[in-house]
Amino acid sequence: MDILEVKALNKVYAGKVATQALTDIHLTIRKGEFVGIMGPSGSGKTTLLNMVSTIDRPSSGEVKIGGANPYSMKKRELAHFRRRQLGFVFQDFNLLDTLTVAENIVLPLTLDRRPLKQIDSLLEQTASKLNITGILNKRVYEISGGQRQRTAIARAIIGSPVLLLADEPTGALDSNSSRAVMESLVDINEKDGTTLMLVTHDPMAASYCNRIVFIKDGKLAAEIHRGDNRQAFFQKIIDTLSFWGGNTSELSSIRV
Amino acid sequence: MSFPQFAFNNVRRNARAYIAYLLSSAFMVMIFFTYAVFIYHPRIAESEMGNMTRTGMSIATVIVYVFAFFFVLYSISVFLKSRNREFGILTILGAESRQINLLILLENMLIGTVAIVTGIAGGLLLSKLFLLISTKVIDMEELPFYWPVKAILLTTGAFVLLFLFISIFTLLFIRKSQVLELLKGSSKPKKEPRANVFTAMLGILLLTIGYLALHAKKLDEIGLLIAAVSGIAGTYFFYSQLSVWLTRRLQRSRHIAWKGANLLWTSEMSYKLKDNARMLFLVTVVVALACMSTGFVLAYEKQIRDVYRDDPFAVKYSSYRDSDPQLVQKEINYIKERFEQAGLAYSFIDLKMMSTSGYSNTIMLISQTDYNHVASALHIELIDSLAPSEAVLVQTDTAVQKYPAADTMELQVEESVRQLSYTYRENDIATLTYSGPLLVIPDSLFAQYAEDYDGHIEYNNVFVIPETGKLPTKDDPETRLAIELTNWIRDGQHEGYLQARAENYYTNKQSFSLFSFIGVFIAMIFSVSSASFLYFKLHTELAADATMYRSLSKIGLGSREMNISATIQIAMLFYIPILVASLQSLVVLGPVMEVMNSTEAVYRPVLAASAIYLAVQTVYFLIVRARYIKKVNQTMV
Ligand SMILES: Nc1ncnc2c1ncn2[C@@H]1O[C@H](COP(=O)(O)OP(=O)(O)OP(=O)(O)O)[C@@H](O)[C@H]1O
Ligand SMILES: [Mg+2]
Repeated sequence: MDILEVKALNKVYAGKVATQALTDIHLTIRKGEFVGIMGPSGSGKTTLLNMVSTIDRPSSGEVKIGGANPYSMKKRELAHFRRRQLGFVFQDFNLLDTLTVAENIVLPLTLDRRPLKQIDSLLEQTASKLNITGILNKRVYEISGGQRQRTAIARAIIGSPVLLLADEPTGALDSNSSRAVMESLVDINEKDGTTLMLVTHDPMAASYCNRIVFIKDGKLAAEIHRGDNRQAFFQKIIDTLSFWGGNTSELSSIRV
Repeated sequence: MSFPQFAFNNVRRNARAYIAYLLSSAFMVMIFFTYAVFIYHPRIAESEMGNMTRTGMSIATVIVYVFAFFFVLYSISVFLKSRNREFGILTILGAESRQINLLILLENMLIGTVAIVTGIAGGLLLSKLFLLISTKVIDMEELPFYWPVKAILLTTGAFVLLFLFISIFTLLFIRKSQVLELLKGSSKPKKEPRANVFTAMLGILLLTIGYLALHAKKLDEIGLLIAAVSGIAGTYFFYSQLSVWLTRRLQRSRHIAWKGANLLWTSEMSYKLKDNARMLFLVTVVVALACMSTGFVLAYEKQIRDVYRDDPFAVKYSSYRDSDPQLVQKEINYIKERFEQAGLAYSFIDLKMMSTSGYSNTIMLISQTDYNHVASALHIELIDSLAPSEAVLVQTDTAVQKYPAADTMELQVEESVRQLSYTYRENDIATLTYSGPLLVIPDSLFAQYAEDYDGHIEYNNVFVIPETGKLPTKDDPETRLAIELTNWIRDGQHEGYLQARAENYYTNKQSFSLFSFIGVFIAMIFSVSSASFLYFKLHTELAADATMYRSLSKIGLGSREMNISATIQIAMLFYIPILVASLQSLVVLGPVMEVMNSTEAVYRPVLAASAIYLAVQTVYFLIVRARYIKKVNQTMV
């Protein structure tokens, strides 16, 4: 079953100099896939993710998530749709300082007015999945970057979304934290069968995906699939990046 | 780029933050100055007012100043907080703390000077404008405009001190914080205040002292001062403790907190607890003051009005006991003549009354015939017939002591005692006596008393004119005649004394109008300044709140939930103070009015004042809320 269908998507940012950020993008993600989006800086990755995550409107083309077109929805419906069908993880976490870790995680459920019992059991499950049970009662400013990102992931998946979207989730983390975060994501993908779409610069993070789509200048440039061997996949990513003009200096910090 | 250049550019680029700070400071200077202009107005200084009023106005001055202090302190802390990152980066780049201190000090003094100058200029305009409007609205002689040297000096002195103090205060504050904290800016929450038994008890104790100071003995200026100080301090503890306690409870009860948007606003509230408690406290104090002054004005004006309304007799003329009846008749004729010349239709009744003592307090006796004369002129129900030992007891409906509908009494006039059975009525004819009830007795009995004790007889003459149902104004024929007759009776020797209700009303109203003017003025500036304080607070928090709501909207927070969360928070800030302030006004105004010799029940004017305030605050609330929500909505995806 196709979770995400993107057809003939175009995005133009109007302005003094109009920017064609995306040109004729076609992309289909099937249920249970873990797809990475890579490309040089300014190539349109974040723009694509924003279209998919209903944060921004496409100039033309079609986006369907789970068969539904979010852009034909009313504002209120759209909010409910985001809450129930989508999960988001951001580079800068977007957690609320005013809440504890636990409260941050359950926020989408309370907005949905779920019963307390259900919230509690979901919280327990999710927290143990991400290994953050010990910090549930701490405040956001008291925990590390990696813990923050896992908290954000917990918040994104607690509502069992059909599609989990992540924009550079490891962008602000060191390699150890990155690895822990990526492993959590793989876990969610494999054990819960959640579909994931991940934007990243980091070849190490990308090597956890099943499939990687490369974008350059707003156009689809290449697509590679992971075999059984992650080492080989990683090499393939690096080759593709250097071929399509990815920033080579990024490769100096290779870590697997 | 040199450091001063940097400082200059800084001001230019941060214009928005600086202008908000400058405007709010200048606004406070303007309010304070305008207030001082009226307090030191020569007309008010030479007016005869009681110590209580004087103390009340001094307390109001101090409160305006304290309010201004906190307002400026709050705006500067917001202003500096928005620049914490900048200071942190400067420090990391190696700016000496001396340089940063100098920067802040210079900026503050510059902004302070500009604020004082523009504030005073604005205040001059505002006070002129206010004078113009209020003399039109209140029926008052115009207060002349004067050159307010004293007010300018006071305002300048007070605010120079304030800005100096605040600059030093903020320097100390900045020095204490670490670079890291500065860099993190406002992301770290303030230390949470704790609910603490000792402080809670202290708060209760202070409020009790305030209450006792008002109610214990006869209230004097010192009592009022004690009540003001302890009441205000108690209110502060009340808010800080109660809000901590309440939000803790709310947060702990997950059944409530973990539902819908509740999690959002409860956590926001606890995050901003300290700020909010202070804000609520300040707004409450000024709203209470506004309510009290409005309530005071309303109560007093109502009393003056009621005295007029309850008196059905346009003019009362009573001759002295030893006057020559012929001369008395001449004076009565003169009054009648004046009535005719003024073109006022009137009915004239002369009647006899007798003073006595009977029942529990002094009673005035009147014959059934005389009573019926008055009653028919006033269109009040007549007394049909009275058996020899029957009587009717009449009181005004405002009398405190009530009587049963029918009873018996012992009527004593000197040594004669007589049993009477009476029925009871309430109407305005009883205003014929100055105090105590009126007893209507059969004509034969009155005649007998009049023969036996002719020394007790009072000769009254009343003039009744058709009721217009309106209150007298300066140019009414009734008022003009009343003033003329009062002046006539006061000049030289006369055979009796005269009372004209319109003159009484008009004189009272004139002498009180100055105070209504100040009362209304205090209420208005406080209403405006408390609303602008809240607006300023929300305005400064808007940027941070909008970012938060934006990121939440990405994970599925709808506008509806945002709306609920924001509305609850804003509404609490606007409406809780009114509630508490109304309560405080009720408690305070009662004893104060008693000292002012007013019998007026205080809850009605206070409720009226609170209702007016509620209406005004609701307008502000709707405007502020709409703007806030619109701004936030724009940022939501
Ligand atoms: N709000 C905007 N208004 C105008 N142009 C924009 C806007 N957002 C992005 N762009 C332009 O669209 C293009 C794609 O930007 P996008 O943010 O999608 O790149 P990206 O692939 O995410 O880059 P990076 O890896 O640096 O995050 C860029 O040329 C950018 O300048
Ligand atoms: Mg990007």
